[in-house]
Amino acid sequence: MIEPAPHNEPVGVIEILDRSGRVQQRIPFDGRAITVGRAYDNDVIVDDPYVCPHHLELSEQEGEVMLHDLDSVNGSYLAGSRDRFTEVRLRGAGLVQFGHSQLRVRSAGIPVAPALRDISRHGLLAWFDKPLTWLLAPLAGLAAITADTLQDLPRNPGVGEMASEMIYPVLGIFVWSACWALVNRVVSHRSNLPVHLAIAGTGVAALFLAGETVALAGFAFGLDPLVGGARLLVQMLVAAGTVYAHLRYATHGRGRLQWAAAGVSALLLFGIPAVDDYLDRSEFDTLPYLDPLLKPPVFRLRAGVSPERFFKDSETLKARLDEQDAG
Amino acid sequence: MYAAWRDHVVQIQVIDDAAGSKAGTGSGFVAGRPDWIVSNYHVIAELVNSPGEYRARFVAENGTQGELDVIAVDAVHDLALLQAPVGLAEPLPLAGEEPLRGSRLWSMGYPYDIGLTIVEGTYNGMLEKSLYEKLHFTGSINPGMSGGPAFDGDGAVVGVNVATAGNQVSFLVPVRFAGAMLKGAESRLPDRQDLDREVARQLLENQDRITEELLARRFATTRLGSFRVPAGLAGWFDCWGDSQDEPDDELDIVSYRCETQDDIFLSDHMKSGVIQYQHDSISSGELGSWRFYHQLESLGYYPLMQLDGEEDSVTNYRCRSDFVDQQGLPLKVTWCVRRYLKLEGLYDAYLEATSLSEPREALQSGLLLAGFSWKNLERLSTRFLESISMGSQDEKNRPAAAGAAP
Repeated sequence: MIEPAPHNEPVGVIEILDRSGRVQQRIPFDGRAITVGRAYDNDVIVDDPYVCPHHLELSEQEGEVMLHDLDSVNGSYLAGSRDRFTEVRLRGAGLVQFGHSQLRVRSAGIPVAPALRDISRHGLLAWFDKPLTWLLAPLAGLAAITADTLQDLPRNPGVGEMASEMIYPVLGIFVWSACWALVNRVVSHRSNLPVHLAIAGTGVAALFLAGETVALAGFAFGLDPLVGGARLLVQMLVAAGTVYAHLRYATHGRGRLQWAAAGVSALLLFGIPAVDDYLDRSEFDTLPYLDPLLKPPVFRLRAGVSPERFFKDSETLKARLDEQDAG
Repeated sequence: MYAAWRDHVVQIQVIDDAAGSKAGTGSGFVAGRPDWIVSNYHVIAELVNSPGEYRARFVAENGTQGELDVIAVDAVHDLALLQAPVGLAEPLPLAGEEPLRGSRLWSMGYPYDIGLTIVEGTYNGMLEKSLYEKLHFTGSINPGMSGGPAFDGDGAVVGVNVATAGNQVSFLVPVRFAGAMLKGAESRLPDRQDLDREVARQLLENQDRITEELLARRFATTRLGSFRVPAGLAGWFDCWGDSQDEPDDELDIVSYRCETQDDIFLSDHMKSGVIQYQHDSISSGELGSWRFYHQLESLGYYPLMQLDGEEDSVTNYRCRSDFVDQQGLPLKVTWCVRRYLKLEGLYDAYLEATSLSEPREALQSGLLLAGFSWKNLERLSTRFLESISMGSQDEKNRPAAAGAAP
C-alpha cells in the first residue's frame, strides 16, 4: 500500500510590514524552514537596506513558529523588547522587528472585511472621478468666487483688480485640495488631486449658491430673522457633504464614521464662528445690530404694511426691552 | 467787582469715594438762600447716576470747605441746586431781564482748577437754532468754570456758565431757569432719594413738548434725487448737504443731514433729547440691479448715525424689520430701540428705511431719536416715514428747493 505523500497544512501567512505598520507582502507559510533577507536567494525577499542579505530563518516546531537570527548586523527583536534574540518561539500574532521592517505570522483562517465599494465606480460620488467633472467643477467654484468678488466691489473692476481680489480664495481652494490629495497619497498611494479639486470647486459653488438662495428667499418673503440661522444650517450641510466626499476618496474608513468626521468638521468650520458671533452680540454694544437683507425690488414677493401698522407691530420689541432686567 | 463777588462764588469738587480724591471740578454761586448753591447739572451728574459712589463738596475763596447735598435739578437746562451745611454768603441778586445785546458781562469760576478767575466779555443775544434758550457770551469760559455766574454791570446774575465752543464763543443758561428751580425748591421739600425719578420726569415732559411742537405742523420736505424727504423740521435743526462722487466707486451718493444743536447731558457717555436724521440718495449708472442692492446691503451694516452709551444706563438695541408701503413707495424698514435702565419710560431709537422702487436708484434714510417715550418714538417715526415719498416727474427736472412744505 502506498502511503500518500506527506501534505504540509499551511501553518499561516507571513506578513512583512514597513515601519509604519503597512503590510508590504503576504507569503503562505507551510512549516518548512524558510529564510528572510535582502538577497535574491531567500524565500522571502525584503527590500529594506537595514536588513541583512540573510537575516532570519523561520521554521515550525510542534505547531509553533521558531525564529532564528542569522547573525544579522542590526539584529532582530520582539516588539517591545530591547534585547536582540538569536532564537525565539513566536506566540500568536506578535510582531518581530528587523532592520526597518516588521514581521508577523497570522493564521490563514483570519476573517477579512467585505470588499469596499469603489466610490469612483458606484453611486453619486463617482461623478467626481470623471474628466469632464475635473474640468467643470473647479470652473463652477471659480465662477462662484468671481460672482462673490464682483458683488462685493462697488465698481466694475479691471482684470488686474479682479485677479488680486480673487487670488487668495482661489489659492485657498488649491491648498485645501492639495491637503486632501496629500492625505489621499499617504493613505492610498494615490493623490487624486483632480478629484479633490472637483470636490472643492463643487463645495465652493454650492456654498455660495445655498447662501444666496436662502438670503433671496428670506428677502422675498420678509423672513429676515430666520435667514441667519437658515443660512448657517445650509452652509453646515454643504460643508459636511464636501468634507464627506473628500474623506470617501482620501481614506478607507466606513461611511458612518466618515459622516461623523464630516459633521464635526462642518461644526468647527461654521459652528464656532457662529457661536463666537452670537456671544459677541450678547455683549453690550452702543451700535444696533443691523443685518439688512436688500435685493432688487423685483424679488420682493410680500406686500408692505402701512407705517402706522409697522410701529404697532413693533410693540413686541417694547415688551422684550421692558422685560430686560435693570442693570 | 472781583472783591464784591468772590465770596459768593465757590469751587465744587466731585469726590470719588473709592479713590478718596476729586474726580471732577466745577463752579457754583450762592443764590436763593445763604446755604444754597446753584451750579450745572453736568457738574454733579455722577451723584445722581451713581449715588453712594460720589459726593460733592465746596471750597470757598476764604478757605471754607464743606459737604454738599443735591436738593433739586433741572436736567433739561443743565442746572442743579446744592445745599451747604452752613450759610456762605448773602444770596446773589438774579437779573429780572435779559441783558441788552452788546452789553458787557463778567463771568466767574474756577478754570482748570487754578483758582477763582473773572472774565470780561460781551452779550451777543439769544442763541439761534437752539432747542433750549441759551445766552451767547463772547468771552473765554473754560473747563471748570461750569456752574459759575455771569453778572451784568449792576452786579445781578444774568446767566450760568454752561458751555463753550472755543475761541471766546461761550454759552450761558438764562438765569430765569435758575430762578424757577429755586422757587420750586422753596415750595416743596426735596426728595433726595428720587433724583433720577425727577430727572426722568423732566426728560419725559421735555420730550413731550418737543414732540408736540414737531407734530403740530406737517413735516417740511425737500427733494433728494427722485424722492421727497423730511427737511429741517423746525428752526432749531441744522441741516447740511454733501455729495460723494468717488472716482473709484460707481455709487453716487447725495446726502442730506439734519440734527438738533442741543442735547441734554446725562453723563459723559449719555446724552438725551437728540434728533438726527440723514437721507442718502444713492444711484449707479454702472452696476447692475443685483450688485447695486448688494452694495446697499453692505452700506446698511453700519447705522448712518449713532449714540454713545453705558452698560449700566441702557440696554442693547433690539431690532425689527419689515416691508412698509408708503403711498406706493415700497420701503424696507428696520427699527432698533434700546431702553434707559435708570430713567424709566425713556428709549433711544434708530430707524432705517431703504426704498425698493428703482433697479439702480434708492433712498436710504435714517432717523435717530434719543430720550423719548415709546409713544412719541412711534408718533415721530411714523410721521417721518409718512413724509417720505416719490418725487413727481416734474420735480425731477427742476433744481432742488429745500424746505418747501407740501
